[in-house]
Amino acid sequence: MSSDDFGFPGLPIDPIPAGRTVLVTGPSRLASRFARELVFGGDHEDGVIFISTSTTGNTVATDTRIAYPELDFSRFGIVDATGQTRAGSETAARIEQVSSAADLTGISIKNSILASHLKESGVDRLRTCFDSLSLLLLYTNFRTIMRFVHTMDGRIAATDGLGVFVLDPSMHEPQVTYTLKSVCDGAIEVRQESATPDIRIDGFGTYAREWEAIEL
Amino acid sequence: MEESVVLVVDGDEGTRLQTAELVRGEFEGVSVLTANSVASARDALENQSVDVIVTGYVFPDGNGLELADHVRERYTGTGCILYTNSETVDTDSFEDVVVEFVGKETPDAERTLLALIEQAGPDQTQAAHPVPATEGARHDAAERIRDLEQRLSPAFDELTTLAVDHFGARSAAVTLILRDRQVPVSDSGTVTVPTVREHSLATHTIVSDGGVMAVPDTRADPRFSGTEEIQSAAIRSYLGAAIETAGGHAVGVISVYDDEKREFTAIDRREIRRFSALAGEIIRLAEGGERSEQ
Repeated sequence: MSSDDFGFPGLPIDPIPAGRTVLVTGPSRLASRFARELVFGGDHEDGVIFISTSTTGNTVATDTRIAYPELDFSRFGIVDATGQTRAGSETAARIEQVSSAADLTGISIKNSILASHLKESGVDRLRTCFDSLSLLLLYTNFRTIMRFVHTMDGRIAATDGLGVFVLDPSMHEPQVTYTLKSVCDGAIEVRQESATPDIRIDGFGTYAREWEAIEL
Repeated sequence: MEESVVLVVDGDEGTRLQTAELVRGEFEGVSVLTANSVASARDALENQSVDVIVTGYVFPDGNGLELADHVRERYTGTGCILYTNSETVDTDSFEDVVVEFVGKETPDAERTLLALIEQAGPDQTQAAHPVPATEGARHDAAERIRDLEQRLSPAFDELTTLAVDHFGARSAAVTLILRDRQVPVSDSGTVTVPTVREHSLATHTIVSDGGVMAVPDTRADPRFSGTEEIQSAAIRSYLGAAIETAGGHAVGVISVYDDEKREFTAIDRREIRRFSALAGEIIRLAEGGERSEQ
């Protein structure tokens, strides 16, 4: 493992080199929970930007405080793209508002602004999570979403970060999932058919593409 | 980045020259153009193909997002980066423009800007269409094949005529996929294929499984249902296969079109692959012919 790799303690996933993006696919809530584990469950020196399209920034912060109590919130930023008015910030995490999830230009700019602020606070490495693309696909032109994912992917590559996108394939045509997967460097499917969820990894080289149980 | 063109737009002369110098110093062989207003940037774009535009936000005659919006509409392969002191950017009327943003005063601003220019240029990381992993080499190969167009056309005309008959389709075409355009080398039938790459079905075909893509109904496919150029050309169903060079680069596509819905079988998919293999052979023969003449 190179010192630049992003590790995932507690998950059966080999470290992923810096500058890569992962598409997490599965039922919305489960995929979201797993994606959070990828970004919050790693090295606590890493900063995190969480872009949320359906859960308000304050709720994301509260949920994260409960699930990851050791997280340093000064290294954590949220882009709240729910379009719901914020009634005052209740968290140390920095929250940037965007008028709606359809404002992909706004999300891209706020993400860059947050990254700069975290850098100013001494964060050198960033894990960025976008939760989720499925909501965008409901009311944004597919080409615009492609441009947005490409642009985010380019920023992750340019800044040696880790990018995680969440998608629920049951909400879309298979070719949509296929095309978005082709933009990312790898994909992780998550499912729950028994008491514990399973994941299956596609990409990043050496994986056998078999389901493996995880604990969340 | 060699041979790439970067346009730096800033109203302040000092900043403009400094940014231009920064880009020149980092990338050998890159041409850097400058403009001091939205209007002069539009003029520069009119006269020269630009790979990446780095623009400030506030100008007396508009703003950087208006310029990016113009670029998205007219120059689809060009990357856009807002490079500005302002963190107050009004995106309300530009929700789908999608640009990169670098705050000039932020730590590592210059390093981030340069890394983003590199990403947005050759790798086309702001593209609104799928981009193959080896896009730079693929694009170079497509440009080389384009030079053989006259030599290739007669054989491709035969091939597209044959494809129309074979598939009982309304039209067929062989097209090359360049950086941001799709160029027909031959077509048979009545269809007008989209010429903007991000509007084309072909750009999806070259990254499809096995290099073949079948679309039974473009109106029911979310990737294409909102694309005016496809719908206005009455392309309702589509079957296409990537044409590869000896080096394995998918430089173009052979495809058949219909103005009605159509289900394609596994045999259809296999057969269009045979047509594309034949097209690849024709290219290899033409390349060999040109080499022996030289």
